[in-house]
Order: sequence, then C-alpha cells, then structure tokens
Amino acid sequence: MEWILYERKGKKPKIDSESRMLKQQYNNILQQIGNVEYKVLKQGTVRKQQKRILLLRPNGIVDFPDLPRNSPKILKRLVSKLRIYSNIIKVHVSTSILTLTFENYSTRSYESDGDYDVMELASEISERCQAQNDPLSIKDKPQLYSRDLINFSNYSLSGGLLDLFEKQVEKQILFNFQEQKFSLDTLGSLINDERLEHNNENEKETKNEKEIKIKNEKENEKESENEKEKESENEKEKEKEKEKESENENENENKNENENENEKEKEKVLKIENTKDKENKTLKLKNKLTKNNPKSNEVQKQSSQTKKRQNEKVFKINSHNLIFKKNYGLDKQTEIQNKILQKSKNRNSFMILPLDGLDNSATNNQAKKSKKKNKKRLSRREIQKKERKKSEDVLFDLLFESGLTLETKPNKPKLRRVKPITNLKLKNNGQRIAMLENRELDEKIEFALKTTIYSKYESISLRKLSNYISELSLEDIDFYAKQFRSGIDQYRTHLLKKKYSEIVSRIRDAQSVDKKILDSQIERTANAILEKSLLTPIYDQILLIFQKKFQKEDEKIKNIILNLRKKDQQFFGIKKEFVSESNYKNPCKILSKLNLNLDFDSKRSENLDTNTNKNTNTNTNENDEWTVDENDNTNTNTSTNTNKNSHKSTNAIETLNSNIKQMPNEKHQIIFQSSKSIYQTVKKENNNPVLVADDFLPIFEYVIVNSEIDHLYSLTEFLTAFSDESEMKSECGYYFVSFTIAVQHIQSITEF
Amino acid sequence: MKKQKVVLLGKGRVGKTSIFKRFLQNEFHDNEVTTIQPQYLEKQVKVNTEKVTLSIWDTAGQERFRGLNPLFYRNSKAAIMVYDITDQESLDSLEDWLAELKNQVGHKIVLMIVGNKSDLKKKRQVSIEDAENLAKKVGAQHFCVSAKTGENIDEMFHELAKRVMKFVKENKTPLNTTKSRRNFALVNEDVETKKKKKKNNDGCC
Repeated sequence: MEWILYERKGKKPKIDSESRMLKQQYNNILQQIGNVEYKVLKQGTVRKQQKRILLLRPNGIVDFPDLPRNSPKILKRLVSKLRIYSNIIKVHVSTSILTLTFENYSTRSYESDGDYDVMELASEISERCQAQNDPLSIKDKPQLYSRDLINFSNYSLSGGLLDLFEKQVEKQILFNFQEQKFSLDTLGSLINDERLEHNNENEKETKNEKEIKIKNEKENEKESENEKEKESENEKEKEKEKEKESENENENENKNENENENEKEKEKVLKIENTKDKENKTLKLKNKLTKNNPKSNEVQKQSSQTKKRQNEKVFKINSHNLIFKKNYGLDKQTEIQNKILQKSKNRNSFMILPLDGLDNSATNNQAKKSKKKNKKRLSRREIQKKERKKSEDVLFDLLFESGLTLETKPNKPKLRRVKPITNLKLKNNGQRIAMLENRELDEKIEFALKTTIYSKYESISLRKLSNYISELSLEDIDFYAKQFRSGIDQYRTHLLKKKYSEIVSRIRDAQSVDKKILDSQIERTANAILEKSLLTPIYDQILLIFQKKFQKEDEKIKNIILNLRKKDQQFFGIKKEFVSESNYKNPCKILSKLNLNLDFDSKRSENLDTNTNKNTNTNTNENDEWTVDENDNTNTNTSTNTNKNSHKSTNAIETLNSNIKQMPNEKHQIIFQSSKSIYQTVKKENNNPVLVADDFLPIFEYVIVNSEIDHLYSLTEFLTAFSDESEMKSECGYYFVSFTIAVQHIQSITEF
Repeated sequence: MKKQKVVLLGKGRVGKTSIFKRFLQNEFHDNEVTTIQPQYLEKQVKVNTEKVTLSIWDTAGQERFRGLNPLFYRNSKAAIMVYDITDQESLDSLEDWLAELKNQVGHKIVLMIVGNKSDLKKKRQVSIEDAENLAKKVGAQHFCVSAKTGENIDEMFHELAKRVMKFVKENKTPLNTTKSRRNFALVNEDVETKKKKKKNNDGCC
C-alpha cells in the first residue's frame, strides 16, 4: 500500500483533517476487504472551486458525501452498474416502483419495501446472470447505451427506494465478487467514463495516474519502464493509424506507414532511455509536464530551481487529488500489461493513453500533429462517435481482464458544460411519451403529472413535504393522518395553481377533452401519485397500528359477519324486487379485492410455502398491472427452468407482487366499482332500477358480509383517516360513506 | 366554483327520490334517467353568470339507519328537508333531523324546508303557517313543491344554489393558512429564485 499525499507549501507532507477522514474511511474499507485496489478521488472543477468527493467503496458503491442523496447522478451510476452486471436492458425508476426490462424484453416491476424485496431482487438478478453463461460478454449484448436506455423521467427518489437500490447493487456486486471474481477496477472504469464529460478533471486525473506510474517505476525500474514504453509505442501507432485510417481508408498504405513509424518511434524510445539514465527519472516529471504544457520546453533545460517549481505544480494538482493505490506485485503488473498490449495490438479502434512520458521532440511533433488532428477531428465528429461506441465494448473486455484502470483518450476537448438530467430532458421525454396517441387519457395525465412533480424544483418541495411527514410520530395516528392529508392537499393545490398550464401542455388531447373531466382526473391522479410516494414507506406500519387499535372491533365484526353469512338476502331487509338471483356475486367479487395486503404477514408466509400455481390463481383477481406481471412470471419460468433454483426465484417474484400496496385512493375506487356493479346487477335482473339510499344500504350490507374482507373495521377507519377531502364530495365519496354506514350498521346488529 | 355538497333529508315515503328524479328529468331524457343512480346527483346550476355544481346526496330515511346518517352530513353546505303536506308526522320529525344536523354541522349550513306533494291540496293536513314558522325559527326557507307536476322544483334548486353561493362566499375558509404553510414549507418560489441567483453568480454547471 502506498500513500501519495502532497501539500502546497512547506516541505513536510501534511495531512489535513479532510484527508485524514478519507484515510480513516480507507482503512475501514481495507478491513472489510483485503486485496482490492480502489481509489479515493477528490476532484474540483476549476471555475466553481467546488469540492466533490468520490468514494469508491470495495463493494462498488459510490458515495458523494457532498451531494444530496437523491441526486440523479448517483442513480445513473447505480443503474449503469446494474445493467452491466446482468442482462438488464432498461431500468426505469419512479418514486416507488423500480421497473427492470430484461434482454428478452420481459419486464418486472418492484416496489420499494424493506430488506426483503432487496434480497429477492438481488437473488433474481444473480440467477439471471447465471443463466447466461458469461454475464459479462458484452459483445453478445445488444449494443445499447445508457443514454438511449435509461429513462430518467422520474429520477427523484424518496429515501426508501434509494436505499433499496444501494443495497441491491451492493449485494449484487458482492455476489459477483464471490462468484465471478470481478475486480473493483471494472467499477472504477465506469466512473472513469464519466471523466470524459469533465475535461478539466480529466487532465488532472491523467496526471495523477502518470505519477503513480512513476512511483511504480521507481520500484520496478527498467522492466516496467520498457513495458510502458512499449505501450506508448503501441499507442502512438494506433493514434497514427487512426489518423491515417480516417484520412485514407486503404489498409495497405497504413501498414507501410505504420512500419515506418515504428522505426521512428523505436528511435524515440532509445532517446528516452538515454535521458533517463542521465538525469535519473526527474526528467520524466518534466516530460510529463511539458507534455501537458508544450510551451514550457525551455524550462526543462534549466537547473534544479525549475524542478522545484514544477514539483510545486504537481503538488498543487495533488492537493486536489488524493490517490491511494495498492501496488500489485511485479509479476501481476507485467502480466496485465502484456495482456493489454496483445489486446490493443489486435484492435485498432481501441486506444490507451500513453502511460509514460515522451521525448521532447516527440512531444513537439505531437503537439503540432495534435493541432492538425483537432481540426480534422472536429470535422469528423460523427465518425469518432461511432468509433468510441465500438471501443467501449473492447474497453470493457480489457478492463475485466486487467487489474489496471485505463482511460480512453478524450478525442477532443469538450467545451460544453456537463448538464445534469434536468427539466429539459424531462420535457422532451414527457412530451414524447405523452404524445403517443394510443395511450389512454389516464396514462397521459399520469405521465404529465409525474414529469412535473418529479422535476427539478418540484421534487425539492415534495422532498420537504416527505421529510416533514416522516418526522411526525406515528403514535398519534389521527393527528398524523390529518397532517398527512392536509400536506398532500396543500401540495396539490399549490401544484395545480402554479403548474396547471405546464401539466396540460404535456397532455396532447387536453383540448378535446371536457375541461371538467380533465380537471377532476388531474386532481385525482395527482392525489394518487402523491399518496403513493409518501405513504408507501410507512404503509405497513400504519395498517398495523390501525389493526392494533381496533383489534376488539375487528374481532367483533368478524363474529357478526360469520353469523350473518348464513342468512338469506331478505334478512338484511332487501326488498323483494331487489332480491338477486346471483346473490350479488359480482359486487362481492370486486369488493373482495380490498383484502389485498391487509393481512400481509400471513400472506407473505403463505406465498413462501405454497406452490406458484396457487399464487397465480390469487393474482388473477387483481388489477391489470399484475396480470401483466403474471405473464412475465411464466416467461421466467420457462427461461429459468434450466436453473436449479428456479422455484425459489419465482416464489420470490410472487411475494413481491403480493407486496404491491393498495393505496387508500385505490381502495376507494374498489368500493365505488363494487357499488356500481350492484346497480348493474339490479338493472339486469330488474326492470325498474330505482335504488334509493334506503334500498341500497341493505344490499350493500349483504355484499360486504359476503365478500371476504379481513380487518373490516380497522380498514374503514384507515380509509376515513386517509381519505381525500375533495374526493369525498364526489360520487366515489358518497359510496364510501355509505360503505362506512353499512359497516357500522353491521357492527350494531345484535339479533341473528 | 367548486362542488358543494347538499344532503336530502326526510322521512321515508316523503318523496325525496321523486324530487330527485324530477330535478333530473327537467334536463335529461327519460331513457338516460334510468342509467343514473338516483342516490347521488351532480348538477350544475347557473346563478346569474356564475355556475355552481351541486352534488346532492340522498340519505337513508329508515329508522335503523337514522343513527348513522350524521356520517352523510360531513362537510355539507346545505340540507334540503322534505316533508309531506298530507302527513303531519313528517313535519314533526323534521325537528329531530334539525337537532341532529346542528349537532353534526352546527349552524353553518343552508337550510331548505320543502313540502312535497303540493298537487294533493285536498288532502292537506299540514298548514302552511306551521311549516313557515318552523322555517323562520331555524333560519330556513320554505317551499311548496310537487314532484309529480314539477311545480316549483327548479325554482327551489335555483334558490338553493343562490343561497349556497352566498353562503360559501361569506364563510370562505382559506385553504392555505399561514401557519400550516410554514409547517410544510412549500417554498417553491424561494427555491427557484435562489437557484436563479446562484446561476447568475456562478455561471457554471
């Protein structure tokens, strides 16, 4: 292990508090995993002087202590890792649901929920990895890139999901460490890719790497030097090949020229060696510096004073960048480098940065050439983009085999700023998808709302709201529910006040739809989205609290219902004209949906025990979303049949599905649907369907008794506490109120 | 104007449903009426230039559900209390309803007392004076309507809408009180302006 710590002034290396922190972190990590190379980079952009710390942990997690946790960048990185380690094509993240699209275009969505889901998710992905013989053979993968694939329409996460994501990735990567022996550097390379975006940072990092190399050289002396010089040769070759390929596409000519160049370069290498022998490595530093600043050639020739100055420059750079690196053994390094050499010889499109310094003359020549190159390259942007795409694949191959961190050479200085994933992208995306004509109005509205709610500024206020709510104690559940509701209402009114035009502009058919319907629809979906994002993390807890609070009532009503089930329709006071032949089967069926994840503990254990067939049967009653999932399950069944553990994975999926939470507004809708179907059955079987409240309530009671709902009383209390006030004024609200009245009346029945 | 909740109260067989139906039939065709569920009704009423949507809730009149009716009253802005002019008892029972209403909602509600079946004048048992006295006592308005002939129905609802609008404007409860605002810190504006300022200062990503 080696530490390189520099300081701006003074001769003794001084460790400030910040680097001490890093050192501590580093040591902690070292204790966790031994022989892994990793980096701690402290980067700073020149203009802002903003410090950012990247901490690459041995388990592959990237920490940004200075950035907000919900940063989309972190997410992007995590997602990209997910993609690389399994055959996932697309990862879509919304506040509460994580959707993965696999290679065979099967999709699966997960809801954030504690550790359990995470484990299952990780195991499933790892199994998918196993199913493919070599999960990392990227050549076989469809050539898709993150910018095409990852749909960050909803990137802001509530804390829970990010945790899930991190845990998941952590586990997944740890798994890979054990099973497939990946090195950390593969992850490092991922992060290195991002450097392409930051030109300034790039330069610094390359310098740093070179310095590490120098240190290594001090130890390895000539052997490693030669190797690196060979590398540099090859790189020069490739660079020149590239130029010439692009200029003249005839391969024969290239070969000839390459031979000539090889000879020239050999001479250069000889020169380098000579200079090194004479000036004892210090010149190397100069060379590098001169490479970065070709104009400072004169300085090189001067005496030790200039050396100091240059050293200071290096120190300055290093005060920003702290690199900790554990040295590989000599043998390993040489092996790896040989491998790289072989690989790089075979592939022209691939470039490695010169790891060693170059001769003065060479640098001069190169500087001149590079100017020409730049001009030409600018004109050949498109070609280079394609080349880079190709080279990416090769890079990954190499990186997985080698233990070194490599860099693709930035083809041209990128002047444009790196844009975060902002509204701009979202807007385009949102418009594009909302424009799709085949979509239902509901979906369009939902998408438009989501894009606005999770946009840059809105997500901040939403986060504040969720923070506020999470700070409230669950003990006083009534107060909690009130605050929760009023928070959502306030946020929604604020949203619709300010962003209404924005939302509507994202819905294409907005003008053709009746404004009243549109408004109510928007209001409702906004409520649904907010509820989902805020309530999911504490959903189980709240239900449990209600069930504990109303335990007695629940039991009482359970007994009453058991008694009432034997009774016929007339017992409930249903008039003769409304006695149904089908015993109101449909409304009962619909109302039974309410039972979903009320009794979540027992259900979960059941699902683990029973076979998959039974589970699919229970799922058939549920919403369309889940039926889609079922199809996927069958797909996975067929695909993972080869695996020994296929049963486990499918079971896991089922349990995940059963854990999808039914939000209060969804439950309201179920009640509404069931009461509507009462009308339909009455209309079918009766010619004169005029149902007054007096006629309706007995029927509703009968339906409630005959549909199997657990924890009926606590459920109604829960729904009343978390019901939307404005929704309560509408038709849906009416039927919910009559539902509560019916429940209360059932509870008061004493004569059987 | 948003939706305003109105509850229909009254003893069974008083003719709530027929008033309901009549109010619907004045605008809809008979065929459509059958598809509409008569317990809940939403209708827009024009008052001068403004529009109000009244969402009218039917309530249970049967004795066994009476105790649970207060659940219906929540957040209602108005109540239409229906009695039968041929049934003295129905008017007397209104007083029970009124007490219930006051318990649940307080005085902040628009009240209408409506005598149905005005076409059966020969069988009239309830004197108009009694009804109007009751209305005065409670601060309600009295109407005599006939669901059968449609007499006075539209006028009654129009008057109701008018009064509800007036009532809502007078008792406007601001949604966002300053206190709760602070609690939730929905400071979108501030955030945006801050961001803009930052952008101007830094001029960098």
